[in-house]
Amino acid sequence: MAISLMSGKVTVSATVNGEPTEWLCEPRETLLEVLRDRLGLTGTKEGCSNGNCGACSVLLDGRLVNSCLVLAVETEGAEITTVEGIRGEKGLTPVQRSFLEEAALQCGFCTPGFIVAATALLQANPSPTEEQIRWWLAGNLCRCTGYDKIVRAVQKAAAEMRGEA
Amino acid sequence: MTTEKQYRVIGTRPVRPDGVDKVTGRAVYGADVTLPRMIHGKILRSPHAHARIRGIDTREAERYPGVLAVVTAEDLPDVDVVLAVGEGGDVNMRDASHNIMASGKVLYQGHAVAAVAAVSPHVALEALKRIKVDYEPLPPVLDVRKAMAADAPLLHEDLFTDTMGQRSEHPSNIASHLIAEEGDIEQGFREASVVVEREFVTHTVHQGYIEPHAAVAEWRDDGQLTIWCSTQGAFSVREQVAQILKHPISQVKVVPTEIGGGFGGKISVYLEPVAALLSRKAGRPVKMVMDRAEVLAATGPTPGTYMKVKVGADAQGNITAAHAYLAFEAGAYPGSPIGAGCTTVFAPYRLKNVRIDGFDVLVNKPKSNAYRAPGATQAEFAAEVVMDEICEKLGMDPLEFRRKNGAKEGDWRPFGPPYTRIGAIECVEAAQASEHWKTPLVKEAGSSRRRGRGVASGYWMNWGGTSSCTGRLNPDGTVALLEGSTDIGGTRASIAMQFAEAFGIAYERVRPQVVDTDTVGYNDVTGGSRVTFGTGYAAYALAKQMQREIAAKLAAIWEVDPESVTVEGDRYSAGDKSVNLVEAANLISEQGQQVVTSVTTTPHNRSGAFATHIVDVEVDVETGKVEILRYTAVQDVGKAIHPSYVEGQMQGGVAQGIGWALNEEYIYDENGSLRNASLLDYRMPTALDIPMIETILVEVFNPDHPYGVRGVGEVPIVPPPAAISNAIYDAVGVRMTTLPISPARLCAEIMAKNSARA
Amino acid sequence: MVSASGSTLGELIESLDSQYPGLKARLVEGERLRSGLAVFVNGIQIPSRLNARIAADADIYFSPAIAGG
Ligand code: FES
Ligand code: FES
Repeated sequence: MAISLMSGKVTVSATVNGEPTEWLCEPRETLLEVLRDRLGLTGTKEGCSNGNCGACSVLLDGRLVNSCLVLAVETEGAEITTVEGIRGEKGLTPVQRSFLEEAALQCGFCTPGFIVAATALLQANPSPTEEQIRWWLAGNLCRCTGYDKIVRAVQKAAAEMRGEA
Repeated sequence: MTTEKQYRVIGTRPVRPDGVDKVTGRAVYGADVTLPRMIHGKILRSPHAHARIRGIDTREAERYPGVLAVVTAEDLPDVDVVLAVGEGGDVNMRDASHNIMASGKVLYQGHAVAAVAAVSPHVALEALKRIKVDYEPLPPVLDVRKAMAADAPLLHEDLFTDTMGQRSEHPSNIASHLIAEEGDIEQGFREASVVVEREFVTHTVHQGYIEPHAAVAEWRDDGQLTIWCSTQGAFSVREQVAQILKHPISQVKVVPTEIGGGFGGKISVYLEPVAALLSRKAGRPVKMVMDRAEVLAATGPTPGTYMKVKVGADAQGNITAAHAYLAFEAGAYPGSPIGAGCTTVFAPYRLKNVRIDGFDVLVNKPKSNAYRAPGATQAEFAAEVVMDEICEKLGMDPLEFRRKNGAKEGDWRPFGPPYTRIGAIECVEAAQASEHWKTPLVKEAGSSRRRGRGVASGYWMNWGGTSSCTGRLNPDGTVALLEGSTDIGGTRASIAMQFAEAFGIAYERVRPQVVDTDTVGYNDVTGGSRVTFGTGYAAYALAKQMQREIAAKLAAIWEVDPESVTVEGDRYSAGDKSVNLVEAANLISEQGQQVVTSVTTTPHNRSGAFATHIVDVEVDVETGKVEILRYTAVQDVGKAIHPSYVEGQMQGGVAQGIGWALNEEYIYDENGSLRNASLLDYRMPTALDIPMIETILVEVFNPDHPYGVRGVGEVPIVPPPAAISNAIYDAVGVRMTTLPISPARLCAEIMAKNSARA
Repeated sequence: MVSASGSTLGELIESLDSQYPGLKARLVEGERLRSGLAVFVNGIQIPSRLNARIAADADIYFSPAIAGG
């Protein structure tokens, strides 16, 4: 991390979706702002900017975080995965595919956050119960679906990833 | 009833055409739009709920480094036209203009008073702090009953009450008083052997779409204005902006982005005209994005209410009379959904003697707006809780009561001709036959927990509206389908499916796109549960029109009478000639011709949608916390085009209804300052708060649509609050008549009941 | 339910007004139907215009236009 005295801006280097990336930003900028406004990764959404909706979920060194609560300068050297970085060998991952097949999205605005959160869940726990899925996803708000089809999509993706489907 | 037809496409569950973009983050929503040289706008908002603006000094902000433009109400022209915005709601554009930029007075906390455009959002926010507004605070009025009092502080000195076309003598905060009457309620109440009358209060709630409002405007030097925004209706934005700015409508083009939820709240413009003005001044494109606090404090939530409902029934359980008094908070300008409240309040019932009084009342809160079945949830909450009590007094099964008194074709309804074919009774019967209803509930659940079951019905009238579609036959026999209805919940799929069905091709061979206002004919907003009905109707008409055009062109090529060309699926034949669509497209293009067809349709939609819900709750009598154990939603959907998305609408509506019932409310202090303008404190249901939601789709053919479709989006939000209140009564014996039924409110009632007994 | 004659909505309202004086003032504002008023002919809502043609024996229904979402 290098601070440029002229502009008060900071240079940060991190790995974003597998690519070494470097950017300049102000110390007050959040990771969400940098992803969206400086790196053009607008798949990560802003719903509240204060940690209450989960639309901005990303993986930071494998951990699920709200990128609106992380300062971009804190991510020096980190490994960041956004929804754009979630790809399967054949295109969509089982989580993405099952969201489509189960109609687990309506407006789709919460969807990137849910895809990232569900992906993290299934990495941590390949066989979650309904209760565990609901608990894990409780940080992601969806106003459209009533969560029913989201929970089912995660269950289906989990089964597929376990080789049961 | 028509006999069940066999469909190829309708009733299947294909992946939506925009799906891949939405699970990979590629879909572009309002705040994702970026243009070269774009700058950023922010709005200064009033800290007062009611104050006169004595002056605004923007000089320091204008000089602030990085600032390119500042606007206030002075930059807006005077307008005085009434425009139908959304679903037949007439809005005076003067009010709309003053709502987006206060003129003379601020009328709610969060009311916009000035805006700045600067090189970054941070710089714009810094500059806002340098604008000096001289306010003369006035007493605010926040409660609907207080606002109705003769001595209440007036929001608008020039507002008079309109009572069915008659104007009051004195100015008032009551903008209108609607009356619907049938029969003789005095006589009806005399015939009753039980009468129940109760008062109800509900608080302001927000639609809660996860995407905040966002718009980008580019005003070019030749006067061409282009707006990219997240909206339920690009054409409505175009009209509103043109009227508010007095700019020729032909010079305004609106490009709708993907939309992250709307539920009625993304019809009125807030940012678009302001971004346009800033862009005109700065000579650069301007992007404006609200933060969550602005969304809650300064867009259009749906009203709080005071209601009184009285119902009488005879000993056999026939309703003899019903009276509703509904007072809705319009917010700062007239226009609460009181009319819809009156229309829906007793809608599931056949009534002979009824009177409904509705009041549209101004208070110092943001101008209220539509929210999913606007006005119905509040009104039917009151009515359905009273009906439950009638059943209790009569010792009658609540579903049997609803079946016995259910409205059907030909019955009276307020503010409209009698019902056409509706499915109110069919829904009740399906609920009676459901697994859920037939499974007894175990009431005891440990020492401090009680369980209960409740039911409620609901109605929403649905809308038809105008829709246009354009179809282009591609050389490979696929069709590019251009629509103007923004897709909030999978309507690209439901429209394309209807087109595919009617045109005789596979769903995958239709490529639907939502396009801008210059590219397709006029479309009313995505609202009123109308898109799958109305735009689906247009897609059906388009398919038939394209078939006729193809047949006519082939007839010319084949030199036969157009009438002799028959269409079977995607095959066109006449005599010994027969081609499929690909061959037809090629034959036609060899002649230097193309099939490019546009239609505009305005079907009438005379019948609405009914629903009946069943809920089981568990109440913790010590904390007042309510848990939803099981939920079943039954709904007349006419015909489910894509059943998954129909179920999704029902489940989503139920979830919002549960939030409204148990948690969500605007909390104001006595000065009219909103105390919970964040998603932490304005608490919407999470995945952990609700169970799976069972859905039962009843299909009563709608004669106004070729496939029998009824709008499905709105009615599912209506029954939950009443059903939950009724279930809580069944569990713990207290009638909850205030929404939300928060733990504190419920606990207080349970304690009051216990101490009354002690 | 009342009966009135006229081949356009405007004429119909005139005829109603002669039976029920004052009614016109509630339905018409200047040269136009009042905003916020819905007109149904035989169960179908029609554009609210005074020159709208009305067939004989039609059922006309006036009501406040109901806004929704
Ligand atoms: S935007 Fe980060 S949690 Fe809502
Ligand atoms: S699909 Fe709209 S918020 Fe989840």
